[in-house]
Amino acid sequence: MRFRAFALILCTILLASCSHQNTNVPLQPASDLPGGLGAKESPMLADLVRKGKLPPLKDRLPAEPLIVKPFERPGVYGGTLHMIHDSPDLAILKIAIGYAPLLRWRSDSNGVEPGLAKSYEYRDGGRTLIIKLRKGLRWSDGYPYTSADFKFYYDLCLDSRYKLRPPGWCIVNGKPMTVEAPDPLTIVMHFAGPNYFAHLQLATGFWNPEEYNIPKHYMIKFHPDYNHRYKDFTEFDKKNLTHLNPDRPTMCPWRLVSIESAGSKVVFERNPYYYMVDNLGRQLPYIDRIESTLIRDSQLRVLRMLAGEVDVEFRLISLTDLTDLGLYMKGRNRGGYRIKLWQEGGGAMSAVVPNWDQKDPVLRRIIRDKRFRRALSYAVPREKINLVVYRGMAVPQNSVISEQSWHFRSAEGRQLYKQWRRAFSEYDIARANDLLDEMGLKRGADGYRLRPDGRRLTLVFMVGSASYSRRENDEAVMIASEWEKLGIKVIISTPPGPEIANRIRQGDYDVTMIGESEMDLFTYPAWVFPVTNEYWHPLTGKWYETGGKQGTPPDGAAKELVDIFMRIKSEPDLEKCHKLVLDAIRVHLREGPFTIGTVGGSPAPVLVKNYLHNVPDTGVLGPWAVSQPAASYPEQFYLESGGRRQ
Amino acid sequence: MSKNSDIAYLNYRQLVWRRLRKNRLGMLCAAVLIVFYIIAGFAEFFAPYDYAEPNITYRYVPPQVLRFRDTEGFHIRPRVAALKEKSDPLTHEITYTADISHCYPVRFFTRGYSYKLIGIFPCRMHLIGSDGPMYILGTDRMGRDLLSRIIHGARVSLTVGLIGVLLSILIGSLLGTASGYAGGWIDVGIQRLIELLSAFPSIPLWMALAAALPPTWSSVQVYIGITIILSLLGWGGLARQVRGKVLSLREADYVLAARSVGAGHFHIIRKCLLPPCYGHIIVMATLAIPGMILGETALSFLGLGIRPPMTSWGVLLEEAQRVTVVLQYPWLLIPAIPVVLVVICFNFLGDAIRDAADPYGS
Amino acid sequence: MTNMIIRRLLLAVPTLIVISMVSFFIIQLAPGDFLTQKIAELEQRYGDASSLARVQELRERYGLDKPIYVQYGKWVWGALHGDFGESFRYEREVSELIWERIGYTLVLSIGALIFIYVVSIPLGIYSATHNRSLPDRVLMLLCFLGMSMPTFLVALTVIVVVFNTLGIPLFGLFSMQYESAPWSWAKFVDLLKHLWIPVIVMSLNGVGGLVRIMRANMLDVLGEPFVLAARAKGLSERAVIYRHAARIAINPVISILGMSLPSIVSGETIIAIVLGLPTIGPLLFQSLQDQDMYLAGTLILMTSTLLIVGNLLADIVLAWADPRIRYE
Repeated sequence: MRFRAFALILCTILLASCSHQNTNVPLQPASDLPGGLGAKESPMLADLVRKGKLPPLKDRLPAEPLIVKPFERPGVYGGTLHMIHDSPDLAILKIAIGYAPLLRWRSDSNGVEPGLAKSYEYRDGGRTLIIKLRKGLRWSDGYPYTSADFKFYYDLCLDSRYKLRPPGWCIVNGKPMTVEAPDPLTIVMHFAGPNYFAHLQLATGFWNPEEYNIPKHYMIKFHPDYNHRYKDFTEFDKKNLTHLNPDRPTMCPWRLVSIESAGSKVVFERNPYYYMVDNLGRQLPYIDRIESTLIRDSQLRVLRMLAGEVDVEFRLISLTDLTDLGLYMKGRNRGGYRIKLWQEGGGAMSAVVPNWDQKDPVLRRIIRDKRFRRALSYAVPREKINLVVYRGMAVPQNSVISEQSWHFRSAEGRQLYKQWRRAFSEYDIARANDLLDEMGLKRGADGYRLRPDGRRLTLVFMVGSASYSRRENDEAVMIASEWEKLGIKVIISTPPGPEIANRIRQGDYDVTMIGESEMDLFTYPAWVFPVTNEYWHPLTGKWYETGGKQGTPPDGAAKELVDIFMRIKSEPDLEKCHKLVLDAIRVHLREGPFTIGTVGGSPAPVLVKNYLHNVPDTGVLGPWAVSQPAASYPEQFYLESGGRRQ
Repeated sequence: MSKNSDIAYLNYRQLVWRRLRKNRLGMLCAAVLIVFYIIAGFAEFFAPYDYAEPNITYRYVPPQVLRFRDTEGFHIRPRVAALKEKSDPLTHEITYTADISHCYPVRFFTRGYSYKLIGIFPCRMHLIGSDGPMYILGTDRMGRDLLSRIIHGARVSLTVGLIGVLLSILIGSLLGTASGYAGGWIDVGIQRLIELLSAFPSIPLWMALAAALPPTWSSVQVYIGITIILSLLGWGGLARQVRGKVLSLREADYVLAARSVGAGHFHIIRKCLLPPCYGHIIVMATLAIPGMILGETALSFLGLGIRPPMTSWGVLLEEAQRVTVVLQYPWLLIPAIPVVLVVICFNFLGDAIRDAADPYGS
Repeated sequence: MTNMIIRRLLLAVPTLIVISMVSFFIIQLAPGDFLTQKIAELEQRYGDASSLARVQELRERYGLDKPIYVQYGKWVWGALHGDFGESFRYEREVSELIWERIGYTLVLSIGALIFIYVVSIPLGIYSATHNRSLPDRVLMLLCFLGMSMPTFLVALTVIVVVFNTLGIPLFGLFSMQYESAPWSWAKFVDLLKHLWIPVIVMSLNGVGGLVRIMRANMLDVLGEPFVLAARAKGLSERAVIYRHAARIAINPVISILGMSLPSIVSGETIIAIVLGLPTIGPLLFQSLQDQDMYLAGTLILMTSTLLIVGNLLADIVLAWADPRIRYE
């Protein structure tokens, strides 16, 4: 009896699951929809205007909106875009849809262009930066956006009671900038010395703009000085979290509307006061809503994308390697999507990073000898790595920054880049062994080389574990077996993820691996210039950052590079700055390699459902600093017939 | 061979052995396990390829079936078909199919890659080998032969179980005996410790302990560390059993007799109290080994276990946990079979021993 | 008997205290702390080198610069008031996070338990009554297979195969459109559609074991004299088996149910991680990886408490069912 009841239940469940509908209904032609080319604003908003709940379009747009020419054609309004994210902090969403800076990185990453600001100007030899805002900008609740908001932000930075501090980029010679707002449309920043990178920093990532775009009229309600109900900034801080507070006004194209917990789903809706229009004067964005689900497990993300449940995905596909590319390509018809191959912009995925600031003096001297690093580089099996990790679609090369970087746009730059890219990248075990013999590292009885102090030459190779970062783990295993042929004992060590970064920062490692993908050395100099507390120069960089109070002072080649960087910082002429970067690259050629390359220039697959349009065919996705894909104007993406029907 | 003072005890053992021998299923499983351990012990001899050496020429090769019949007819010596490559221009994938018109024979006791027998004697003899690529179970993403990796992985997975259980037995019987014999505070203390350990959820404990292993340890040291961690969690049940038995035997006549004759504590424990527990201990040990093997599988699956270049069945299964593998390269899931097989065999064997150890049961 | 209960409860308190201390300590064992992890993540993603002062500020805010016993003390004090602290990763209250997932954890675990019992008991009875026949031997083999299989391996393969062959995406507990929709009949049906895969995968081990136990019990009981007497009395075979023998054979099985109580809440962690289920297990695993101290500490404490309570309940049930087992 029990058997039968159970069987009945089982059958019911199985039948129910078999009746799953195919949700891809046939698409209607665009002219049928109310949001077509005749409309200047989304029907959703037009409806609210009719009811009197929203001011008409001309009162919502600024006097001079930013005009964006759509990638394929002007789009229709409407629809819900379905996305996924991998962490509750929504970073991967913000870099796509949460970008509202004063100045924007151009979509080809060749410098910055006006965003919320209409123009920028340097005066006093780079000591003053004047930003002029567009007239008529408004926050997502309709309140005007003025220079008072920026001043409010900077006052918070100077307020020791609140966690914000003046951002690193505004500090010159140890002194932070001062900010004035002489009129509602002008922001004036005074630096303690020439600071020609400041305008780039205003555009960088989503994090800088997110930090300085604080709605004064809203946040003032929670500020303890203006509202004595609050004793400190705890409530203020909670309310200021853009990804957790739907009531907080924003300047982004879509505003957060709701967060669901168990599924960790977030919903965004269009910002009715957004300042961009397309080339026909129609207000952007086209898409009404964006819904995104948190999926932490990588394989589940693959399955959802294959099932066609994700409308667009930029970064999460190539997060590790290209193993799944074949699967995505084969599943295009069933999933109803296409794959666009953007560029990873990777200089070295991943670069092998020896510790220039190794604390053990004997090992440090060995590492600082360029013959040692060259020997290590000649032993890296780049072809193997290319095949195993990137199916041969990447380029075996030296550790360099992105090919698309604007430093190398000149003829001289292109030539030098080619040279830099080829340097030290041949696979030549004999030559490597010769270099080590030349250094006087003799082999002991067991075949391993000995250091000058008689101990066995051992390198502890620190990488993530196989489940944390399979690509790096595989690469390290392959490289280690080659280095063993040079007589170096290699121990692969896999500390937990956060601990790796910790050790790098403290300089407690011999060799590690870090993905190298950088477009702009002015905002992120670390790969070429040892001026930050990370990568191959943790302690030298710390010295620079703390103004000499901590860390170790640079010497030898490192000092040359630091000097060049200081010259760049005080150089107003952009072309001269690029030339100085090339000088630094020449130092790398002469004294390097400081980091050892594997492969780079791999493709970054982007998944786009067939009913989503205006997504560019190419772009550089790797580095976050140049704000892709936000710089490619997701505001002008549009869904055919509202996209996927629920 | 039989000592006068041990006659009763020896008969019990003979009895158990006789009953065990009659249980054909149990014997079969024992044989299978012995074969596994022999293969694991002489892994280099049985494995045709080096398990760690990447070979990028033959990545993701599907299993090459042993054939007895090809275009030339029937052969007694098995053959392997050559590989035909095909490159997909769209996905840059290379797929391999069997080219039956070109087959080459499998050779036995042939020369292959060099290794050190028992770590000392350089040797090049392998059980099987061939003139061309012979990947009986296929290869993985780095072109490493799956069969060789399974064989070498067996070495780690099987010994972790064995050594871990031995450690557990040691700790368990020691503490259990101490607990039961000494009584008093020692007993209470050990009992609380066992309760504490059993109340602690195992995964966090594993994770924390595995994460605490120094990252600069070599893979061998990590392996030993993992073994110790697994054994630390398993001794509770055994200790409780031993304690129970010791408690009941403590006041037995023959023990009192031994004490009145002047026998020391250790002598009593060794000769009078522990021997009756052996049966129980062996049964529990045999049944605990599969748990250890699965535990190592789970740990490596979560990324906390064995580190490269060492490999184990858990590591192989973790590598196979990708949608791409399940859909495109399913042969990489084969390591699940030896895991299941070994666990089943241990379970059957344990059952058989338990049945045999209770000669007065139904 | 009440003596035993009281004694166990009293003993449970210091045990829990020790467990909470040990869990707090153990989370610290892995090098680094959450803040370093967060900074490391930020840097890895977009190379953001936070200013030193801000790092210190965050460290103070989370209390990470204080010695461990102070952090522990603050947590315990808060816990006694119902405030289990905040999760660094999710930036929300720990109690909220746990509350959201408990429902699904219970549904899955209880569902799996029901499935195990509903399937195993009839199969065990059938196997015992058809002892040594071919179906019996096959079933025994399958049971061993089920018991020995590391089920988390099966989990991913099952959903991928179902997706590939049937074209039905059955990942997690809900389809993407119902994930956070308000409860409705459609959502409930969607849940049922997704439920059967995790339930079956989680039950494999249990079914294998329980069928064997049920079978062994039935065999024991069928050999009892009273069964012979019942047959001699002329009762139908059916009545003998179901009305008399099975009833007695089930008893020990019910007491085993008590022993499964602890696992109801801790649930099957690895399977849940692979299948992406919104339950307690993956939350605990992630919090340990993140070194999200308050979340992990609370979860470990909760699981341990339930383990202890569950064990106690199981022992009570056992003692009540079988008067022979009493403790001094």
